[in-house]
Amino acid sequence: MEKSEIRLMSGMVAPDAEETLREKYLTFLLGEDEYCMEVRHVLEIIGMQNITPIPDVPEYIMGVINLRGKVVPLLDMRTRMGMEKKAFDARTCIIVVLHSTGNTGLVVDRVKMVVNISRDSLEIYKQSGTVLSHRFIRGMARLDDGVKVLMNLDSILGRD
Amino acid sequence: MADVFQGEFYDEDDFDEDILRDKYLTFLLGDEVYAIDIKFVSEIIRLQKVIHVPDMPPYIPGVVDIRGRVIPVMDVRMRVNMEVREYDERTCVIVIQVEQQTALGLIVDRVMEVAMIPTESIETRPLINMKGRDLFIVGMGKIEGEVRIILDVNKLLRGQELQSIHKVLENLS
Amino acid sequence: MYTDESIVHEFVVESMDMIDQIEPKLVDISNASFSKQTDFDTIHTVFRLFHSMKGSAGFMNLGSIQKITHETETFLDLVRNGRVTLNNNHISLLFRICDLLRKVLDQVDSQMSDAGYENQVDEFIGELQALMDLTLDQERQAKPPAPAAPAKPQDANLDGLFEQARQGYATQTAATLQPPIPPAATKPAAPAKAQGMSSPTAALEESARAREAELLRQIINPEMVEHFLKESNELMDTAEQNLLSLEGDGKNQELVSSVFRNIHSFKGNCGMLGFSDLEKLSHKMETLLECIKDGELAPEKKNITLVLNLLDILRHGLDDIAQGGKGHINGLEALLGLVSEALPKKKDAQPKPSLDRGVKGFIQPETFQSQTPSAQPFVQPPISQAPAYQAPRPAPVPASTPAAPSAPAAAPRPTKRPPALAGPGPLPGRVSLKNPGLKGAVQPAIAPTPPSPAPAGIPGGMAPQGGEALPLPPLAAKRQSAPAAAQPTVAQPAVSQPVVAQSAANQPAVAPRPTPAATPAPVTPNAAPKPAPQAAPVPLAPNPQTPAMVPPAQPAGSAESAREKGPSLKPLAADLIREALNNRGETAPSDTTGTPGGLIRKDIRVDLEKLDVLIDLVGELIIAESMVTQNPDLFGYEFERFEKAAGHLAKITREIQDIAMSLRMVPLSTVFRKMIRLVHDLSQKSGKEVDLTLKGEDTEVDKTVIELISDPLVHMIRNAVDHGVEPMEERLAAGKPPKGNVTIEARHEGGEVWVIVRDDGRGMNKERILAKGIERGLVRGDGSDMKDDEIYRLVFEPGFSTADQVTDVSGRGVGMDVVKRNLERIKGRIDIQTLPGQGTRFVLRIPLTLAIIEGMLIRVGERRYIIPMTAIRESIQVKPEDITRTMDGQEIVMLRENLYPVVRLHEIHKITPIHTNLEDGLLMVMEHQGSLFCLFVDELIGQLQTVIKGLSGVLGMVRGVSGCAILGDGGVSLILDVGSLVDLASLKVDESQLA
Repeated sequence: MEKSEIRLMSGMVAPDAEETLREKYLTFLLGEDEYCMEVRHVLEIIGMQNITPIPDVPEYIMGVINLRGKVVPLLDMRTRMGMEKKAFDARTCIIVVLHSTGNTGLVVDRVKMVVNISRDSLEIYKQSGTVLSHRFIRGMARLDDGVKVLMNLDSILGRD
Repeated sequence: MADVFQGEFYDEDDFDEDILRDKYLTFLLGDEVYAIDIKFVSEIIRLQKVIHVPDMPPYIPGVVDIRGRVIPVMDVRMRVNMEVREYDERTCVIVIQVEQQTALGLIVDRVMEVAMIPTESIETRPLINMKGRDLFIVGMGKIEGEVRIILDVNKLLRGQELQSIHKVLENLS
Repeated sequence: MYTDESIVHEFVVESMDMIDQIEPKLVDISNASFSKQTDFDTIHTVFRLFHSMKGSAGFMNLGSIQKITHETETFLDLVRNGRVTLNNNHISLLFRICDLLRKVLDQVDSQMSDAGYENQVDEFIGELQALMDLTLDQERQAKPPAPAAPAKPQDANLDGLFEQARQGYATQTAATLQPPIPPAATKPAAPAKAQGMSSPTAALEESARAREAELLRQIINPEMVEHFLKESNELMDTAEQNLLSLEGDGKNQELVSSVFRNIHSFKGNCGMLGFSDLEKLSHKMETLLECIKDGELAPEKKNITLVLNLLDILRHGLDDIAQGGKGHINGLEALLGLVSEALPKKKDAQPKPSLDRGVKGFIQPETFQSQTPSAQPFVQPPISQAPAYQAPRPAPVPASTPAAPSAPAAAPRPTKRPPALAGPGPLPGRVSLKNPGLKGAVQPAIAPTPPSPAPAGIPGGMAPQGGEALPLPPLAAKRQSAPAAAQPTVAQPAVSQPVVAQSAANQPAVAPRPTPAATPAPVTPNAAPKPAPQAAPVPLAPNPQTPAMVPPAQPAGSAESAREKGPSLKPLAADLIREALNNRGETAPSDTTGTPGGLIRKDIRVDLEKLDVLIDLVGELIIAESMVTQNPDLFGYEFERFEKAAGHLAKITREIQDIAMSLRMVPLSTVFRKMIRLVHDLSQKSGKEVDLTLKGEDTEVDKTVIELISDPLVHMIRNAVDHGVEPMEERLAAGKPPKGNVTIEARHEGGEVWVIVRDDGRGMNKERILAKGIERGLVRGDGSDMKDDEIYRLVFEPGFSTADQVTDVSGRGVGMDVVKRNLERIKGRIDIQTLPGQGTRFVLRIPLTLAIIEGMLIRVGERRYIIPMTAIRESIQVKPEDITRTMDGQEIVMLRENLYPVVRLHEIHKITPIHTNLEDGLLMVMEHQGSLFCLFVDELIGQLQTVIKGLSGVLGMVRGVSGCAILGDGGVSLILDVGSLVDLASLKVDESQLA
């Protein structure tokens, strides 16, 4: 699970399978920090692609890619999270997520793994967005190997 | 356009106005040839010493003394956002008279000639969608395959600055 | 309250349709100066529409709608009978009722209820009743009643004349039928008539029949019949679906009731239009269904199958009507008997004489005799008239004669069944067309009747292919059809013919045998690449000659159930049904050679979402196709066979694309028709008399265009009537006809559809527009240097109005900017032509499709863009002396004495270009809203046609870009939006000047 080409067709799974995905989270790195998001949002993970830049859009929108005939926009998660940019390397990945605004690719430094996070170890923030940086964060998961930040996909994919 | 003109030099003489129809004074700013309606032009002089006047917009460097008349001068390059250039021996002042107001001198790179530009060879169309691009431009005159950029004298003088110029001038005189 | 949302929605849509139909008719009536003579048809149509709406509303328990439509109907009946002469007040009342209905329907659509409108409805009802009371009062005073009123006064809801005609038809024309009421009177008529074929009275009968038919034709106009057919087919479809579901869920009362209602409405409609065969049969079916509903009959397979089979017979009757017939059913009497037999004894014994008779006639030989002649003539003709279909048929005569109820063997005993029919299984003749999409061409015999079960009864030319031959999706069939995909209809026979031969050989015993309900022929997007222009909304069967009215309702499932049903059918029933379906042979051949009257316009309703998904997929197919055929891996190689195959693939792909695109095409008539009422209202308000002429209503445009063009049309017509057309005195003074004219015309022009709105009014006043433009600061200087066209275009500026006074109709300056805005959204353009004193012409130029773009691929730096071809005038290279640079950096190029401002794409989109000097790169001369400019690009790659993909919601609106497209090499290219590009260019300068 270290590297790309993991296809998780979670959007099409049956309800019971959905249930099994419930407590599964995909973890990834941005810089030193480890983030996670629910696996059921993840459509697939691919390596870097040829990007067509789009003019006149916020900086965090890198452009669009052709994903098997569908045009998918790419968000640079580093820029989105207010981190400094970093050159892409072999480990840079695109996590394609399912969302009501359309499928979107999130560019992250490195995809780590799928972990089980039980509800007990997950702390969801009641009030998101009180601090600016929290706008994109839904909560924290405390696991044995450290803290993982749970992303808020809705606000990440929304326009500012 | 004739009806706009209310200049004191010509308004009593219809004949003159006819003679001036479609005539433009052309001058250089950089590489391009510009033109203004000759109706507005009262005389052309060589650049004289500019006396600095305070509280003026930057494109009004000061006033010049023409035969005892104190006339403010405008650096047209600066007015239309072109890069400024040192004045040289070819730099001229075109003295214009607009709407019963006191005369104003336009500092240009070089005066060329008086040219006929019939109305039908003046185009405003290419600019119709370019809002803002043509703040000072009436249109483009075409003479024998070349283009003359026709400036709108009224627009050169438009704005609050004009008021202050008058005030200052009143104080001077 | 009825809870099925989709049914309610369907009802709302249909009712709205009806109102859309009613309004133009009302305008017609008022235009025809209320002469009751000429307007009988029209009023009757309106009456019928209200009646249908009432009926449906009744089923839905929509009390308010039912009440108001009922009252309106009653009122219209008086009008129809000549007892009320319509005047303007009446018409306006009817219009207001239409408005109210629209409102109520809107609410029904959103809230599933018409509650809350009771008061308004009551008000209207009060008005209507007051009118009617008045009439009745007058009549009472003026006795004897006016002779002009042909109707018997007690006929509240049935027009006398109409009823007469219907009765006349029933007794005289439909000789084989025995109208249920009164049996005593008609009973002798039938045999007499039948025998009369050869008797001296024949001529007399004939002429009487002709008279009746003529009368009927006068009363029933084609639109009514067409509407009837469409509605009936939908009813049949619903009934059939529900029946099929009922098979699986026999306890579902709702399903039975639904079928019952469907048949009931169908019966009502048939009665209205005088299709008495159908009326009778459906009446009988209704009785049967009622029994099932009331639990007197079990909803068991046997009964359901019977109803299904009868449905097919009804459908067949509808086909007959569609082809100009009277909905005749062969062997009706026997069929009625068949149903009676199925009825529980109790029902049977009910005092319904006709019913009784039917049963008796069926069982008792002597009654039989009297009926024989009536049935006989209909058995014979198909055989003799259609020899072509006989030839391949194994045993045409034996197969069909037993069907005739005359045969003594007709007693329902399986043992007596001819061997050909006694096939053990589900019947060899589960005839299904292999390829419905191509039916028309391959097997003309069946072409006209695909909607109903492919009848094995007639055409020997058909290939009975056992039960397994499920209809292939037409596209697939097309693919397999042959290399020459361009004309699959030609290629197909080669493929299908052998099959015919073979299966005929394999199954010699296959007697034509109906498997009703077997083939809900799937949607048949015909192979014809271009849709016939007259195809109805969302025409899935673009070719009207390949009708397909059956919905895509689980063809597999129904086929299966049909097979199951097969054996359970009593042989006699099968025979009867076959018999009833038999006269299809008569009509079939003529149909393929062209349908007279063009009544057949069969369409289905399709979920728009599905359609969009299909179109999306087709788009992806095209991309995938070019990704394969232009795969970079292939560069430098020459594969001859691959090239050939790729070419073939490309061709098919384009065709699929064409068809898929055509599915979204809708005729403009729906929008145009709305304008009739508008012009009517406007001319009333403004006191000007204005005629509206509609041309080219059949012209089809993309559905999105329909949605976006309606508002612009409204505003343009408002303007035309209010500002364009002069008051009558002024017109007369100018030597013009007193009545103004507004014309809306649609036609194809190049790759565009032009919608032209023209009035013969005073024309646009250039000076006034200019003055207003200057006043509003829209014009620089005094405008003396503006071209006429530019001045006229000022009317599209927001808030622009030259009206001295704001009238009720227009003049507030809201509206015309909508025209421009909406047109921009569909990438359209507007041309204005106006002649003082003679009128104005607006031409809306709309691209044919919004999903595909014909574009030029260009490069700027590393990026590639697609520029819509419609925006490009030419591309040029310039010399330094052609370029003028104004002081603020604006570059202007002079080309053939014309000046064009230059927009540098790389500056706007912040790209590092290859060239920065204008003379090194390329200038694309572009047109936007009548003004021209040059777009500076690095190089031109080539022309292409590509599918437009929207930009994701995450990106929001991107200025200067309208969408993107995937290129052959898999890269993504942005499609430039010329309009916003211009705005963007101007904006940049504004910003720089502010800085």
